[in-house]
Parts: sequence; structure tokens; C-alpha cells
Amino acid sequence: MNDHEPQPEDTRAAEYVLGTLDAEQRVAVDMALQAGDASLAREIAWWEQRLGQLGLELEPVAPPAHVWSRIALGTGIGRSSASGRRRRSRRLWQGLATAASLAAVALALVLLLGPDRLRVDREADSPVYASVIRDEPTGAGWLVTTADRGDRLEVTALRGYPTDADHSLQLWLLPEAGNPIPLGLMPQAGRHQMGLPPEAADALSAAAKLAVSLEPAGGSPTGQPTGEVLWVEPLTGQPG
Amino acid sequence: MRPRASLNAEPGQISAWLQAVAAGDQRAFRRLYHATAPKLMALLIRILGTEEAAEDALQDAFVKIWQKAGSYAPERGSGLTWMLTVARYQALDMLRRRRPMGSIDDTSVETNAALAERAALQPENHEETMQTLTRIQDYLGDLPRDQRRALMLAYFRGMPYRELAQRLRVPEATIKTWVRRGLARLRERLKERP
Repeated sequence: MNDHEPQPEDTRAAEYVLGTLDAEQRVAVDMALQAGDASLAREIAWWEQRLGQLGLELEPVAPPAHVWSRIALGTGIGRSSASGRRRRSRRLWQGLATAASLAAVALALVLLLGPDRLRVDREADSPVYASVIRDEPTGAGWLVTTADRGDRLEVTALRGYPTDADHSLQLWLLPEAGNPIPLGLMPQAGRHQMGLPPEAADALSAAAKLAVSLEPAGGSPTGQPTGEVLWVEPLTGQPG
Repeated sequence: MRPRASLNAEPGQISAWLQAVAAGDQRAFRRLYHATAPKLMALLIRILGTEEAAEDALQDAFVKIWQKAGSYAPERGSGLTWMLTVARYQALDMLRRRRPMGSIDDTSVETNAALAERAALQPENHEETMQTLTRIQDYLGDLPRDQRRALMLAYFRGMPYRELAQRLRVPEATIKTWVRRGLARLRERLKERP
């Protein structure tokens, strides 16, 4: 045998990472790791870092949006509990202070395209409110505008964010003060109209926000968000 | 054509997110997913061959990352590479479950050679695919062709030696020699790199 050829014992960690060991040999390595073989664990970690570089060289491919929904279910993220709701509610309200990303885009759309282009049927003395809700990583998004003097919302899906059959995306109005007000379920495609309940129409203001949460199919059973709040965006107003 | 995405986070940020995930931070987990999933997805498609299988593996990998983020040790290397390793092991487990021992006719997986063949058949993919191959070969350096080919096949297929030997139509002892010499040279080449 060539003197420079590594002995099997020397390459065991690398072969474990590479995947060339047979099932029996892999089990033996797993048992050694479970028994606390620190040297072997270090060696495996070294090779994992080095051989892992091969995977870094591939061109990224964005997974479809429903994969995240399935992961959220698999990890229990968004599963409701009293304490969880309190934590989420606190995070949500903390998040409002910094949410200002796309309000300008929404207002620009309203101003540039005009209400007619957006099919916003407004009267001269009634303000128009608009918001763009967008998920940066997936490109999913909706344009939300008020219509009929603030009696209803038009929600236009720019690109859907599919969920599994057990879940829906629910839209909420976050008034300047008070609890979230349920508005309706987000469409995955096309334009959708939502009638605004009186308390929501009264709460429309430039200080209000829109939020979308992941809820059981058909919407929250409690009238308040029970799942993870996925997006919070400002509502931008154009004076009437 | 599949949507392309880029990694939109610094390595230090990924490490910080992983440590936050270990403490149960759901928001950090969500950000970590959106920043890194496209990289993991690319690797899983390359190993498993179909987007559907890659989606299943990606889901299982991120559930494991959520559960095992506490075992990531920043001092041992980059968070992204650790995540790629979790994803790759997940994919290899799936391959082993669906591939009977000794089977070599699983043609759904793209190998390095198949990549080159596909590039030749699909002009729109040629440039990207060849660039990928070039980067990978740069990383493996000046390994002899046989050693490089054996390492690539093992990395992207997770085949034990007996199957590699059948696949490459050489004696098992020969493939072991190629892989072990390749690993030894790679160790020398990479031991100074982080």
C-alpha cells in the first residue's frame, strides 16, 4: 500500500460526512458520537464545514410560499395559546412603531394612477386610504384601497401567498387605539371586495395600520388574531 | 424557469439568528428561513432531482433547524454551512429510504455529469450551469479527474462505496482509493481555510 494513502480510520469522519460509509459503519460512527467521542465530533464538524462549501456554489432557488406555511405548522409556530397571544400582541404593537416601509408606495400608486385607475369610487370630500402589504422574500403582495366613501375595501392580490387547506390569511384593521378589527380573508388572486363594519369605517385614519395573520381556515374563531401576525403595514391617506 | 433568489444576510447575522432561534425566537426563525431557504432549496433540488421532493426535504430540514439550533456552535464554522449540512443529511436520508441497497438505477438525481449533459441540451441553462460547475471545480482545486468525479458523486448522491463502484464501473477498492486520496489532498488544500 502506498505510504501516503490515508488509513480508513483517518478518513472515517470525512467519509461519514461525504456519505460513502455503508449503513453499519454509519451506525458505528453515530454510536461513537453518542458515547461522547469529542475528537470524532470535532473532525466531523471540520469536514461538514469544508465539504459544505460545495453546496454554497449552487445558484439559489426560491421555494414556493406554501413551504413556509408547512414549516410553521410543523414547528408549532402560530399555534395559539393564551400566553402566546399575549406575546404576539405585545410584539405586534411594538412592531407598529417601526412599520412604515411601503406606505409611500401605496400613496404614490393612488396619486399617480388616480382613483379611477384603481377603481376607487370616492366622492370629492372623502379621503382615500391605501396600503401595500408585501412579503419581500416571496414577492407576495396585495394593494388595499378604500372605496365607496370608506364603506368597503378593495383588496387586489398582486401575487398570492398560498396556505394549506387548514389555514387562511386574515386582514385586520389596527385602530390608533383599541383592539384589532377583523376585515376579511385575503384573496390569493384577483380583486376582492370587503364590506367594512361600522367600527372599522369609523377607525380609518392615517394613524391606523393593516395587519395580516395566519388563522385557521375561514378565519379567527375568536374575533381576534390567534395565529402569527405575518405583516403589519401603515395605512396612507390622501385627503378628500 | 424557476425564480432565482439571492442570500440576503451577512454570515454573522445568520449566526445571530440561529442563536436567537435556539432561544425560541420565532421572528428570528422566520427571518432566517427567508434569508437562507433559497440556498438550501438549490442544494436539495440538486440532490433529490425534483422540486417536489426538495420542498419536502426543505420542510423537514427547517423543522430540525428549529429543534436543533442550540447544537450549532459558531466557533466551529458558518451558520449557513451548518444549515446546508442539516439539509443535505435530510436529503441523503430520503435517498437511502427510497433507494434499495445496491440499486444504481435511480436516475432522478442530477449528478455532476448529468449537469453537464443537461447544460448541453438546454442552451438557456448552459451558462449558469457551467459557471456552477466551474466554481465547484475551483473549490476542489487540482484534484485528478477521477478523484474529483468520485467526490462530487459521493457528495451529491451520498452513495456508499459499493454503489459508487457500480456506478463508475470500477472495482470497489479503486473507488475507495480515489475517494480517500481525494479527501487527503482536499484536507491539505483546505486546512488553512476557515
